[in-house]
Amino acid sequence: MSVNLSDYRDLFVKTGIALVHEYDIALGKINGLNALEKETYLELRRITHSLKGQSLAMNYKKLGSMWYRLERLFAHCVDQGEMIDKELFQRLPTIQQLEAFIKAHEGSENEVMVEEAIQKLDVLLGELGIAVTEL
Amino acid sequence: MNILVVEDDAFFQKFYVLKLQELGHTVELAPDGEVAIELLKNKIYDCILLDIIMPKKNGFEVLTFASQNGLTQKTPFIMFSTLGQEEDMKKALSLGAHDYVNKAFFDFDTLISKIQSIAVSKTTA
Repeated sequence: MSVNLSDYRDLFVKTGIALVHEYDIALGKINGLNALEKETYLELRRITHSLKGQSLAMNYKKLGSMWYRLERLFAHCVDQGEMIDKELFQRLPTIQQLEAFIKAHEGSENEVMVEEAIQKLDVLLGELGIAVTEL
Repeated sequence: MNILVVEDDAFFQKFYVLKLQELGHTVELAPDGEVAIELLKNKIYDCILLDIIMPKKNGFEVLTFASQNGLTQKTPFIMFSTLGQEEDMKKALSLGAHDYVNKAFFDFDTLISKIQSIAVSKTTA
C-alpha cells in the first residue's frame, strides 16, 4: 500500500508547529529553576520524540536527527537527574529557529538544512558524555 | 478486525486511523495510556497498536496492566517504535508484546502484513 508523503506535509507542518509551541512552554517552565522538575523534562522528551518520529516518517532524516539529539539530551537529564542550566539553555536552538525548520517544509519537497544545529548539539552532547547513534 | 490504536501524536493518530479504516478495519483511538487501560477493562480487541512514550501512562505501563490481567495472551500487542528505540522494544517484548513495527510510513506495509497474519490466525484458530 503506497503512501504519498506529500499528502501529509500540511499535517506535518500543522502538528509540528503545535508541538514546538508545547516545547516552548515546557522549556519556559524549567528555565531558571534550581531543582530538577522531572515531569517537565519527561514532557520535553515526549515532545522531541514525537517531532523526531514525524520528521522521520516524512523522510526528513536530518531534521529527525536534530530532534533525536534533543530527545537524547532530555532523556539524559531524566535518567541522570541533571538539569539544564542557563549557560546550556543559551546553546539550544531557539524557538524561532525550530519553527522556521518546520515551516520551511510548507509547499516544499526539499528537506530544510539543519546541519549547523546538529553540529552545535553534537558538541554539547559530547561535553555531557551523551552518546548518539546515527539514524 | 477491531483494532485499538494507542498513540498520543496527532500526526500519527490521523494517519493510522484513516489508513486502517480504508482497509476495512474498525478502529478506536486512545490518546494516552490511561485511556487505553480504561478501554481494555471493558472490551476485547483483535489487535492493539501501542506507542511507548505517551503522557499519563506510557506503553510499558499499559503492557504491564495487560500482562497482569492476561490480556497479552488473548490479544496481540504490536508496539510502535521509531529509530533509536531498540532497547525499548526488547523491554516491550519481555513484557508480553507480540511484535513491533517502525511507525514511520516507509514501514507501513510491514504493519499491514502483520495485521493480516493476525487476522488469518484468528480465522484458522
